Amino acid sequence: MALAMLISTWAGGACAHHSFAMYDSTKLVTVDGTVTNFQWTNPHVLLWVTGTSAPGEAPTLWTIELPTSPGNLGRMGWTKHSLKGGDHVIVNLNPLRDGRHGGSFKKATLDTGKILLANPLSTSADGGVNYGPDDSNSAKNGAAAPKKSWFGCSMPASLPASDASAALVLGLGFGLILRRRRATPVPTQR
Amino acid sequence: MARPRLQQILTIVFAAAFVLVSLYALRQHRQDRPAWSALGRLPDWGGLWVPDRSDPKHPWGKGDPTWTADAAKQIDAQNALDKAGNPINIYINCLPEGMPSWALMTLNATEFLFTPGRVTILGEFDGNRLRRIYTDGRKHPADPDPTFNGHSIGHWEGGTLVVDTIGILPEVFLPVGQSAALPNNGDLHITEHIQLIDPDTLRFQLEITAPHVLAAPWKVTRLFKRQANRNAEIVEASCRQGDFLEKIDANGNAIFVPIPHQEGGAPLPF
Repeated sequence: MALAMLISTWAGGACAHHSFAMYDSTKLVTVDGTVTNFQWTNPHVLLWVTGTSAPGEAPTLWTIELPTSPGNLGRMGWTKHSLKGGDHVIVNLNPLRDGRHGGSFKKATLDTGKILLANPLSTSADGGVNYGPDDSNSAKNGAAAPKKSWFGCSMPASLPASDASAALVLGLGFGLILRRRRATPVPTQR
Repeated sequence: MARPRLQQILTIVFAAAFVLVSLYALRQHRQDRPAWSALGRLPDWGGLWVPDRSDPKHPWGKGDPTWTADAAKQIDAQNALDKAGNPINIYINCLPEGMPSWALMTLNATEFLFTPGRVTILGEFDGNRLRRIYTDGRKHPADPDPTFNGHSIGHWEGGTLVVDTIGILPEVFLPVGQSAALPNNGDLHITEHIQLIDPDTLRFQLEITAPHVLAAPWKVTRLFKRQANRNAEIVEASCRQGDFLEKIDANGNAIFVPIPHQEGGAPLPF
């Protein structure tokens, strides 16, 4: 009973992030059609295609959800211009289990031969995670032992600009005092 | 005769006082000023970090929770619904995902900012949330106001950031998927050890204590990989923009129009 109440509460909420379990991942549908709209939005990019999924079928509107966000797709090489209204595409998708014309995007093939993929679960380069050459310097900048300063507190290895200017003020102060002392004739005792 | 000597003594006294005051001021300046220079000794966590998603069956990472008997029944029921294609979605209404979902469930990029006495973690997911981890030696508040990410204090042990988090709302989920999770139900305590295990792999090791739903502390590890492109940026990530269609109305105004959705959250043709 409590679980049922919880379920009804959750199911009644807004959409935002959601599981993709309503798409049948065991089925692959191919929609041949024209892009009606391509919306570059979070949390999931959306694609609408008017087309057919079987010969002789009347063209209908398909709502196709990409499995991830503009951020992740961007890192896979997609842009908001990857698809545009009027493009002829062949889209492979996992369809909604309930038979309505919606699906989870798997692949799109354009007339140019360009193939668009979106696999957020992949760790390969085309899955959005680029294991490029190591450009970090983390191995080099291990924690250096702090130097003990003449104030008894920890000092960095190099003196920052603010410390340098403070030292300059001190030095000038000393210099002025010494100069004044030298300039003042010391009276001889009589 | 005595006067020049007095002048000499006074000069020395004033000079000594000047030096002492200057030294004191410099010391105060150093003590009061945040230790920016010390940040150079911290490990390089720069760039964007993307979660390792190589195991789709365990998106939360390595290490399964040991639920209490009652909690396990609820999770089993949720998993059965998901398997049947009727998932219960847990991240709805744009409420923050909170901790530990921040570390365990995100599929998007994360970045770290080091400032004196504080580590800030920014997330591309979940409406661009942020976490603050205080490393300035402060303690947890005695009676923190509960929040989604809780109150975090940390310290560095070599190159490892050790974080302790309390004060998380009882409604915040312990997730094992986007459609399988239970509220922590209070008294949630999380410790994290975050460290580089190779130059481009950051490991989050969490130990989660949730006595009302877990029969034992949940030890779980999740890896994040650094993007090779150091110029990669976190992008704005509104949590519900995709629930709306971008349209131009009869007056020529750009507006958002709700998209119809089925019960599970999938957008439908309109």
